[in-house]
Amino acid sequence: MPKKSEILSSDAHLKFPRINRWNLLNEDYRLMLDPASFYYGLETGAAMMYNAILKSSSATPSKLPSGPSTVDSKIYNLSSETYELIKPVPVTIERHPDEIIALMPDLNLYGEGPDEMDAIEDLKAEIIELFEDLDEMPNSELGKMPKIWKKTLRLMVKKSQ
Amino acid sequence: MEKDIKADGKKVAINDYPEKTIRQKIISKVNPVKRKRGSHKKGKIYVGKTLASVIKIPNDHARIMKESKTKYICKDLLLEPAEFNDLIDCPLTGPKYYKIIKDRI
Repeated sequence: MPKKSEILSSDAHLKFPRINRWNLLNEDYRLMLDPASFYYGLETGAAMMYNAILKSSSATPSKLPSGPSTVDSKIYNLSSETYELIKPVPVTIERHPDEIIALMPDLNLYGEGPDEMDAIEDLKAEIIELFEDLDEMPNSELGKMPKIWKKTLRLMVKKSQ
Repeated sequence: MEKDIKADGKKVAINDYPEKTIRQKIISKVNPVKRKRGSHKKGKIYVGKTLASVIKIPNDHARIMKESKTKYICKDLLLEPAEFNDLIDCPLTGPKYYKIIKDRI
């Protein structure tokens, strides 16, 4: 393990490329050691000030969001001749390296596929199947969650005329 | 509920499982009723004559199921994350599962 003074040197990223310096150092030094940072190599009050701003917005470099990218979108139809949407429905698209997931939290439904179109088509099929399953059942035979889904679906989906 | 809070006060997270493992456990323990028409991806969970939930049965993939999907499946199963982990890791048997969800429908 290198000494702290070695890690803090301006060429530390070249000497110790595999060391996770972020976890070893305080946040002020992280900015100075990050070659991508404007404050790289500087030991001035500016880095401290910049860090203070980041702290106040809870967006410190070590807390940057990781994981899939998400996009909020809407679907306008169900790609069906039998059913149609009464109004556009919000969905969230989650992009992962190996798959795309389309989520509908209101109904606890998701569609998946290798691309966005497949994921959305899968989600549409899910909506139709859930609607068909619940629409034909009397409320007395539905549990708490299916009853809520049915109510939501009736505000969302109708049979085409 | 208490089972979902760790000693440090943090909520228990759903563990990483391959999609096919979740599929197998759902089919063998929960044994949802598959749809008679359409795709066979959906299954209905009944408690007596009451439809407790409708669940999407995961694919037979070896890849780790994404958190957003496992969360939905966990919720569809009417389970808390710790209970879901138990269902997949084995301590929670089928009969025990139905005993738990009986009060949640």
